[in-house]
Amino acid sequence: MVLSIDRLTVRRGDRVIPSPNIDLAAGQSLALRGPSGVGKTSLLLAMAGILKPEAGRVFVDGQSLWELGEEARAQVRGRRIGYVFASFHLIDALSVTENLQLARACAGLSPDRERAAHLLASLGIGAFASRRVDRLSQGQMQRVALARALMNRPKVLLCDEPTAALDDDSAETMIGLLKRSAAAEGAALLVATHDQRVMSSLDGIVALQADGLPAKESVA
Amino acid sequence: MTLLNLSFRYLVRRWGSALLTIVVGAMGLALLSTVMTMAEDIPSAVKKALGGADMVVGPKGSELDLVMCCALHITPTRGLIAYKDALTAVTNPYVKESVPIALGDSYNGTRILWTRPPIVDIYGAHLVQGRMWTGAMEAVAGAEAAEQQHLHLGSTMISTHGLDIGGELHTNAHYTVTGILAPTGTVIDRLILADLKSIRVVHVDTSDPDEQGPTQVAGGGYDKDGNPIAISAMLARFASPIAAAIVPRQISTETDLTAANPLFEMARLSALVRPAFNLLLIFGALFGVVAALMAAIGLMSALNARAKDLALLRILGASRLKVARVAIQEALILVQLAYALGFVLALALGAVVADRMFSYGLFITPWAGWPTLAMLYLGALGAAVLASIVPVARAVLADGEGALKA
Repeated sequence: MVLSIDRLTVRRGDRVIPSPNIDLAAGQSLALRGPSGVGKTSLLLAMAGILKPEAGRVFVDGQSLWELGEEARAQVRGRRIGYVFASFHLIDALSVTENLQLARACAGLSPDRERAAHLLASLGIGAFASRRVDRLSQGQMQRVALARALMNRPKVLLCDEPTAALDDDSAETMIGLLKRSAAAEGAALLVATHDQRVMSSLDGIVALQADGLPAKESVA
Repeated sequence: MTLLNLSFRYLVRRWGSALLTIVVGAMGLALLSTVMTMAEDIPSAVKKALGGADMVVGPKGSELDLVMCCALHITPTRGLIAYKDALTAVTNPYVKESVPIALGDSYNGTRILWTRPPIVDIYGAHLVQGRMWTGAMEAVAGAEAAEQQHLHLGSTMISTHGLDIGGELHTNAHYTVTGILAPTGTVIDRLILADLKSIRVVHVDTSDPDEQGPTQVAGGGYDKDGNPIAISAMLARFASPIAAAIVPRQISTETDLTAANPLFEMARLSALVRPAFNLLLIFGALFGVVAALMAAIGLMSALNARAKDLALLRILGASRLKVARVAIQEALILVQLAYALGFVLALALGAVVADRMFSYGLFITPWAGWPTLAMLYLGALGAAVLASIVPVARAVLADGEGALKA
């Protein structure tokens, strides 16, 4: 398993949000379903080693993320985890390619032009490689965010509402890209979403209920 | 894509405030560098220019004026004294040697100094070509004077009445260059030396009192050997350092002459202008402080504006040190650019001042020495680091998740 979640809970104010236990192998995909505000993003951030959990463990490629020191956890996050934010969080001052290379620089890896070009081409945005990201459409930005998440060949790809800002056609395309890219990279894919189209296209779904109780629905 | 590139891109995005910080910082550095150089170089250049002249004796009046006129040859002549009285005044066991000088004519703006051959000893000069003059209308050119006026052995010159260009030409006689002096770094370099007897030859046929040279204006005339009875000043070297405290005061109080110690007068002048130098230094430092504050405020608001970006770097795996580097590199880039511009400005400013000083015969380097430059550089770096501490600490210690949600 490249991603294992074991009795993970995060605290949001007075609320404790429990995560279902999850075991994902390379190439598998899973939707984390739940209504808005239920805590999907918080759980995803805890799984990425960004938000400190209340309890539980997160294993990424066999390493217990929250038992590592801060800098070691940052390194695992940089090299083994790809994260696609709902609002992209690209750096406006940089071009598309530079945003991708920044992911390598942050993880202490040397620039890889071929990798960036390959990813951009495979996501259909090769023509925008040198364009500044604040001059792209929402759909294009989403693809850049995905390309950046894949840049360091992560073992785990975490996506937060990847279709929230997209129209139907773009959402359809993004779902396809996500699945194909994760499969091509051999990464486990976990998508926090409330979009039915996304859920139906992944290998399985786990749901978070509004009362905070997790319910595992199905895993392929 | 390197993190240095990222810092640079951020800087480019806020180019207005960055440019202002760079310009203010550069002005501060240029001002500090120039004033520090001047404060150090001008007194030593003056000291060097004075050569070995320990005392100058001239007409009653300001000592500083006397030094500026007859020791540094910067200001116009200020009257005459009787050669005999001057000789009497310097006949003193404390005085090792003395040389009379007379001023009044020039050649294309270069002063002609009528004097005696021992003058070269006072300035530690020696001939590099030819020989010393042996009689009237023979001249020896200082190194810089020879170069500027294109004088060489055998050159002839027609002098001009007065010390400025445009005076009436003394066409009745011409000088012949018999020797060229090696450079000394003293005022003698920019003078043309000729024998005192030349005064009479040049002015002998002139009936206009204003055109009759210094001796006639003094109502003196010439002795039986053709030497002038009045001179502009007497230069002297002391036999003992203690003489500096005794002889000038003695002459000034006991005779109708004024005696000045050039080094003392220059020290007095330095003390007079030091407050102005200090004020300029304060201005330079203020510019530097304002630039540092601007850099700090600019950096703080820039880092606040991009708190999300910096949090993102952490999320992408950057260590806190790397995030700090991105933040602090902006300040360091500002310093490099401000320093580079400041260096160019300092060179330009220094060149202007050096050129001005050169016209007074003072040789100064137009830029600060390496120790000063290194000190200013380290100071600027220190200011940048200080200016960055608060904004960088805030960026590094920010809660990544919180920053992303902000």
